[in-house]
Amino acid sequence: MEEHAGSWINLLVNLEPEWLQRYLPLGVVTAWLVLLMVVLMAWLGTRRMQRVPTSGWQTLGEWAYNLCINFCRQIIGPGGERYAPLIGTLFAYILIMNLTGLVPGFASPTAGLNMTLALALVAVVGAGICGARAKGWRYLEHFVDGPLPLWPLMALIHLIGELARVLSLSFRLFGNIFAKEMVIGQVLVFLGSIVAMHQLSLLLRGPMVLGGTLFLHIPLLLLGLLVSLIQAVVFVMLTAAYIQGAVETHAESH
Amino acid sequence: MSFAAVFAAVLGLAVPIAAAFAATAQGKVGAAAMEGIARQPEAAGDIGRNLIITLALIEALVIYALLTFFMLFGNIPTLIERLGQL
Repeated sequence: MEEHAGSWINLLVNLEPEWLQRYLPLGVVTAWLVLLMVVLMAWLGTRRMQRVPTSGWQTLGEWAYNLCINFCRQIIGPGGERYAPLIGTLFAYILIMNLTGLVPGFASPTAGLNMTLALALVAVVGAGICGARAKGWRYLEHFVDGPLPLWPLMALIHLIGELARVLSLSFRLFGNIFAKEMVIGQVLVFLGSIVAMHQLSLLLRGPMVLGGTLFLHIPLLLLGLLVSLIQAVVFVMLTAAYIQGAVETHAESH
Repeated sequence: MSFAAVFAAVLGLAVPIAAAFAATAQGKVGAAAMEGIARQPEAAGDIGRNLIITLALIEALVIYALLTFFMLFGNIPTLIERLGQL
């Protein structure tokens, strides 16, 4: 797989020296900044909590908390609010990381496979741990079904299924965000190549670049907003569905 | 050299083919979901949630094709260079 791809603006003007890109990738720095941002928002929201919130941060926090709890209850069912911290944190982290990539000079950490693979492992292993905590040893019944002689085979198949979940979660997020950044960057390169065409007069190039910016670049940035939100929602929705599959008891499912 | 040309031409077809089939599939899913909502408007929330998950699962396959495209796309200059040496 390719190296960590820097910011999309680097395709036009290289703001980042190569040695920096090599030893301190922009995506890693951005991931730390986003982490600090999420922690700071949580800290501001829970500092000096009041029964009737007067600070905007507390209102925002309560709104997000309610949203998260309702989401978990809807998908995982009654008692789903126990898993709200995992789901909510994943959502906030992924959403802000996806959106950071739209800022020129920044790169989405999720546009690299390292970050998405780590997130997918957290989600799938987390779902397994949730299932094991909810059902104890009986969680292992998920991995075996059918007649007794077939159990090793079924266990193998289910293990491969878990692996496929990790791969599909990580590749979906990585692919979407990477494609978003690449498309924005390539359009920018295209506009730059128009600017560099000295054969054409400035009167012709100016409107072309203006039109390209208005009707190509800006709509793609707006599409990037949409893709960022949808992919974050899809990621946590699938995580919640995996948790639901892991913690549900057979009495409820039939 | 001709191999590189064919490679480059065929590479452009990968994503459109994937997108065409995925569009058919997503159309079917969307149509079924709309019918379901029209029949039972009170289940719109549940249907919409499952719709998004299903669409994302289909979408992922196109994204795999797009990723392959991006990975192979970068290799065309190297390929031309190596074929030129032979």
